[in-house]
Amino acid sequence: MASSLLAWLIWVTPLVGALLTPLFAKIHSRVRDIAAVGFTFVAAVLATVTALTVAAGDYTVAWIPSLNITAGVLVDPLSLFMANIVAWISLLIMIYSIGYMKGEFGLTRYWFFMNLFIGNMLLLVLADNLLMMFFGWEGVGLCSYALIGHYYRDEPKYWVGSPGDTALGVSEEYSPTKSGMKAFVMTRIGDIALLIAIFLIFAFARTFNYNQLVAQLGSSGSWAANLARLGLLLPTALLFFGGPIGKSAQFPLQEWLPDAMTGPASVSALIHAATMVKAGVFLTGRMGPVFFIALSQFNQVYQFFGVIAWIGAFTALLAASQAAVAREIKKVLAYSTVSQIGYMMLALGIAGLSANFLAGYSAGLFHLLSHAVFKASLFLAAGWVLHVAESRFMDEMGGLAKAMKLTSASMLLAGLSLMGIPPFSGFWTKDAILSLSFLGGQYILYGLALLTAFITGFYTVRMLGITLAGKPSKHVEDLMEGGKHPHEAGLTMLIPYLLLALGSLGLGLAYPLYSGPLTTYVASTFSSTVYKFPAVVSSASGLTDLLLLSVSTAAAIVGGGIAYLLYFRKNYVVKIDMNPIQRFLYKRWYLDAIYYKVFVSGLLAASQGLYTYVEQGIWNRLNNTIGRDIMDYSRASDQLDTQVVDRAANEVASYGSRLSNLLRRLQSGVTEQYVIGFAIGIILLLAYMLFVVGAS
Amino acid sequence: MTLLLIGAILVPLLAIPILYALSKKLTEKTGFVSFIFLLIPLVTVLYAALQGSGSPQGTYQELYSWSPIGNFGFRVDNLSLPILFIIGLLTALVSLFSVPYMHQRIGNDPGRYGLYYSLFALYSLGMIGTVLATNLIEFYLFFEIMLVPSFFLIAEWGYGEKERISLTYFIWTHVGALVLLVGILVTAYLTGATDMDLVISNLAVNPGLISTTLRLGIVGTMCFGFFVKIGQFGLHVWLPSAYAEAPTPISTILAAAMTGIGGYATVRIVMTIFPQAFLTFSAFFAGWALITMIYGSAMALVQDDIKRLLAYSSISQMGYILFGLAAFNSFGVSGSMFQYVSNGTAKGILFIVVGAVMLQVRGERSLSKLGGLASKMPITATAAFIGSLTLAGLPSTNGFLSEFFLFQGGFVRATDTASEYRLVIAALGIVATALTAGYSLMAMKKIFFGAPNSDTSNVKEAPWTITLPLITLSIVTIILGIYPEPILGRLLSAARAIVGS
Repeated sequence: MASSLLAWLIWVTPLVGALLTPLFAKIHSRVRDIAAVGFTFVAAVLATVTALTVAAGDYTVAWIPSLNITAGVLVDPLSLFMANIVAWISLLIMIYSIGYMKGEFGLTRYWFFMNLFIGNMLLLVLADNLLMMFFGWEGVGLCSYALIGHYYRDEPKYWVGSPGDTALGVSEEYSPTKSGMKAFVMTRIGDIALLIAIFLIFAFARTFNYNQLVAQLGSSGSWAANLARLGLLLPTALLFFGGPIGKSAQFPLQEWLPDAMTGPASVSALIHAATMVKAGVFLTGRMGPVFFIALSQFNQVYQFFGVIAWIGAFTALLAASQAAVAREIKKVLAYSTVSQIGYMMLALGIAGLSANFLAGYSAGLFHLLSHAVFKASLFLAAGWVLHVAESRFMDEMGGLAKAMKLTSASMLLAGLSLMGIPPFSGFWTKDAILSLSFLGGQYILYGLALLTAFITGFYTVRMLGITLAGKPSKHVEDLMEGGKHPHEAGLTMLIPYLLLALGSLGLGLAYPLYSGPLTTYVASTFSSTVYKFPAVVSSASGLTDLLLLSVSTAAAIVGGGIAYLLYFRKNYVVKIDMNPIQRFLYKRWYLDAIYYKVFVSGLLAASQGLYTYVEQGIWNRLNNTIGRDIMDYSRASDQLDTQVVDRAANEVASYGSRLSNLLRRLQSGVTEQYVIGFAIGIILLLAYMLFVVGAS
Repeated sequence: MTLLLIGAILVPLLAIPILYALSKKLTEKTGFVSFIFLLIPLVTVLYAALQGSGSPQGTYQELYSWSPIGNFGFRVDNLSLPILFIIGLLTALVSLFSVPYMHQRIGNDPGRYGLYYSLFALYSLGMIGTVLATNLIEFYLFFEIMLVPSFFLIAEWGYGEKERISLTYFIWTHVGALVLLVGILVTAYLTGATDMDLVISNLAVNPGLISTTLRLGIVGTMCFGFFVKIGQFGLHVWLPSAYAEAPTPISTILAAAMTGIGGYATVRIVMTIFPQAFLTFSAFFAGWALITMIYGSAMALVQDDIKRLLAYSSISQMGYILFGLAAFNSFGVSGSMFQYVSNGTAKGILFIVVGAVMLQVRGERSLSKLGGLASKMPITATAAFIGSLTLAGLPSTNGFLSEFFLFQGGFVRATDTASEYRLVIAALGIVATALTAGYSLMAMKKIFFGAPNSDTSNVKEAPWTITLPLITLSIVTIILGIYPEPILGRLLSAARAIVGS
């Protein structure tokens, strides 16, 4: 118990920290800030200690005994791999927040939701069953809603989108509260699919526990067999994947993430690097192997993993293309996240499509790790950059490198990792995904991924070039004239993103050393005898590997090179009139606008129509007629009894007449006599009942 | 015989003249006395439940001879305890909420407070009696007692066209009750009993007392009566106006405590006495429930009046309750009754929030004219947030678990019977929950977020008589959302006894 308590405390600690935040705030704001970071620190240390000392296992307690549902923490390589990434990166973001959020409004709320966010994410990855996981899953959704909408007063400077941006007549500007709501509702659409899948699984399995779900697959009457009997196994798996699609912002539910940039930069970093969007990848990683085994019993593996791979590859390209024309620095990074997660999904899909499940699987998870590190660094640095430039638009920055050498170096390192340039970690992990696609014979997917790599190189260099290189923009010059000179961030901010950027380099340099052992470690998650993955097929020759490696690196370098020529050399000027392709990309392929028209305007119009024609047109009219008729009848109540022959009508009318008499008196204040009379009547009735009848 | 549960009825009854007498002196402070009086039934019921905790269904009952009709009895068991808990809690808390609210509504007319609190106590009595009743005629009596004071409360202190609205409220529910009475009388006549237990045992001994066809008819009449009460689509027309135009404390009770009793009664009477006949209708009911869920949510989406929005939301939530019952298995029925509890806390919170807003912003209840209240009324805003999340069924609120289990019931029914119809209905039902998230968050945004406007810039937090009920209900919501066993365990055991596993 003692050691399993450590595992429990990993996710409980930040939640307790969140609840205590208002109390610490009463003592002193400084205490509150330090304590908030302290709780995350404890969680991070616990995650590492647990990984090193606690034996793998499922540590449960009773939860809903009447249904035999237990709550538990599942200690296994996958959960601890994730928990450590989440906790340590969150810690750096929390430290950054101390400096970054200084003097902001609503800080108690901020710290509360940050710790709640981290705690829920840790709960999500450590939960041993689907129901408990879903608590964390929706918890992170809630926290993202609250934090994206942190500046709930909706001041224009916190909006996302350029003033006046529209697509198909739909405004593309988002206020904090609007983005928060959009994120919440849109991810919930995916959650609905996920819930349906969970219901269907539970209907037969009668358990939510991962290990039990896996164990049941070993017997012939398993939940999977029952679902397959009804033709529901593949639909269940696909619906289940709907949750990750929403949470991880994959096509077709990718549209919430780019607008979720209305929160503070630290929040964006948390959402993109450590929590929220990684939840979808994690859950696919958690249940993917289970579905692999289940589906392989019924020869449906290819359909399911094919969908994952295609959605991943398509999303990667879609979002990268939008990043290439974005105007706001955080939006570039947001599109980039969507795109990079597409890579991870592609890897998990390829795992099921290729002969080597574990290779694809670990490639996806490794890319999650390397992305978490470089994206957190980029967001945190970008947060400082836009703070200094007092603008979220890249074209209002420019030439910032001179005054901010360390920040620029940090962004450059992390940017190179994002591009996938050797020897950064992003290079290894992205290349693994591309190679596996090619070697798995998925040439179209490989082509999409390669094109994405090219665009990634382009947008990364473009972003760095516009913001850091060249001459200062007019906006920055104005700031300098006003005495506001760009300067380096304070240490609480600088150290976290510098450390992460260096970490990305370090992880890359050491990759050949740890990739083997880490793969073995992660693969040991599947020690249960039910897991029967195909034997590892020997990889292609060294020459093919080298060739693939060179191709993907070359793609990134060519993309980056073009951007270098365009944006580093020349001073970037905002182009008002974009060419049709740029406009198409800038307007997000019009997907956002179409969704809005169909699902928001369309839904509201349908509801309004229903309200006008059915609710008011039929029901209210009926109701009013009845009401008015009764009032009318009762006014003529003296003759009514004799005139109306129909008994039913008579009945209703006489009630009406008595009631309206009451109403008349009520207005003259005689009701009280009625009520008192009524009460006395009941008292007498009950008294009679009790003492007279009851005694007999 | 110990006189325990009857106290839950007698105390509010005795409170009526006492409250009336005290009100001349105490004026609006009568609400504090009412609070104490209405806490007593809650305590009594909990104590009685403790007495019965040894028996399999946690039953504690008191029977008083009521010859020649049968017994006039009161019963607490696993099924009724959660319902009684919510009724007791809400009536007491709403007494507090009434103190500032009715002060604003009534003003300085001391006599009127007596009337209000007397009616309120009688209303509470009606609800408690309905749930405790063991006899069909007794049940009907309390069912009607519940209606009369609420009618007066709306007619007297409502808004808008209150006379017409209260009248249609009365007529609809009264006609519903009369149809119910037909079912009750036919049942009583044919089985020769009015005590529910006796009816059941007579039918068990001699099932031929009521033919299968007639059973369907009886279930039809009874369900008609109860579905008017819960406002199923088509029978809902009285509901939006009544909830919207009632004085807000009464809206709170109507939406959070009273309507759901129709769902409880469906389980207690219809499903217990005529399970097979109910099962025959259940596929139809599931579809009807789905229409109600979606229709109510869609209507809520386009409202500008917050109270009307919440009224439509109630219609939708009652659709969930019927959906769970129509699943006809232990998951569905227990989830459904748990949903009564969740709806009680969520609607309790949200209507009190609306009352707080109306009190502090000069009676304003139009979404388009509000905004930016979060920083002005932080406690109210936080409670509203928790209430909205409960409504939207977010984990860690009881709304999640209740919806989760009632939908699980729907899916278990669908897979057990391999019915595509049931599967589609259940899936669409979950889709409807996205609409709930949509309208509840939209309302939050419009009331509390954004910049304060000229109407809302000088607003202050509501008094403690409002924030205390809000905090209490929020805590209950979250505790049950994380640890549901005290309620869910009881309901599951009750549901298994009625519909099997």
